Amino acid sequence: MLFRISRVYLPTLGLKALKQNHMLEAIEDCELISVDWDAVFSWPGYDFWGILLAMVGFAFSIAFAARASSKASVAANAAHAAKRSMINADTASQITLVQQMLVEIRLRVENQQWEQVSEKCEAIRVIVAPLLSSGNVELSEETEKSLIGLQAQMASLQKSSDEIRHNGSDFNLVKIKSVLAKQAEAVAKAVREIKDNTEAVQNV
Amino acid sequence: MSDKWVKLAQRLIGLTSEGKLAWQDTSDDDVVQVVIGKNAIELESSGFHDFEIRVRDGSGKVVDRFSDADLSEISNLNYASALNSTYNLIRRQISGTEQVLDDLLDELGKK
Repeated sequence: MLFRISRVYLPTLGLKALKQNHMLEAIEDCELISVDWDAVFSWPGYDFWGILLAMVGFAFSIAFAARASSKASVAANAAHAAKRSMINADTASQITLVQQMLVEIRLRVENQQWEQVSEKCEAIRVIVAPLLSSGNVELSEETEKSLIGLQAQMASLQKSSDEIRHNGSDFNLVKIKSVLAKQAEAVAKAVREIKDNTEAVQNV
Repeated sequence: MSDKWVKLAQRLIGLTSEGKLAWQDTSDDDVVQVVIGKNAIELESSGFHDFEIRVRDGSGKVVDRFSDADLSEISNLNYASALNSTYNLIRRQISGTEQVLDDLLDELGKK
């Protein structure tokens, strides 16, 4: 037992007795520095070491939790950005569809196909309504206003188309085309804004 | 509700005369429209001194409507004349006439 202890301490003391075959002398020297384990355990006591160990453990667990929390936060942010990016991409595709429908309405107006004009106006209203009401889509105040204006314009054109179709009411082709052109411009702006937002989210 | 119609009409007339509302043309020759917040308002001139104000929600659905006759009945005031002036002013604002006159007056003021 003593020998085992001495082997542990010998190198630290720089003793070269073993190498020089002075085993006994070395062992005697080692007896002087052998550890009194009872003293170690009796002072400052088991409580101290226990508390120290608990504190070290606690510190490690805090550090681990903080690291895990940071990783979770990064993952949550990435998931949020991915979701926002998906919503923006979906919105952009919806508004692009509206853009195409406005072109079609213009062609239908030129051909005086009022039933189709009315149907397309309704279709645009159905597409745009959830974009405005869902709250998931981030739109600037200006774009939101443009889309609300588009809804009202489409409702008005739908009413006019139905009146022309059913009652043969008069209509001003130049004015209708001018309104459609303005709406197309507003929608194109909205598409640009949403695409810019998507790119900004992806770059974060 | 009727009190709100009067208040709404008064605000529209006042803010339009101050040039604070961005009225727009519609596909209908007799209808003008303005977006306010999440809703839109239409003013229709149907015949001589006959006006209707329509309120549309965000989906474009008409959620309320009232005429100058309704307003006159509620308030005992003739709203037809006020709405006629407002409608004409809106037409001038949309066509740019008001802006041209303002620019001309500004230029003349510098001379």
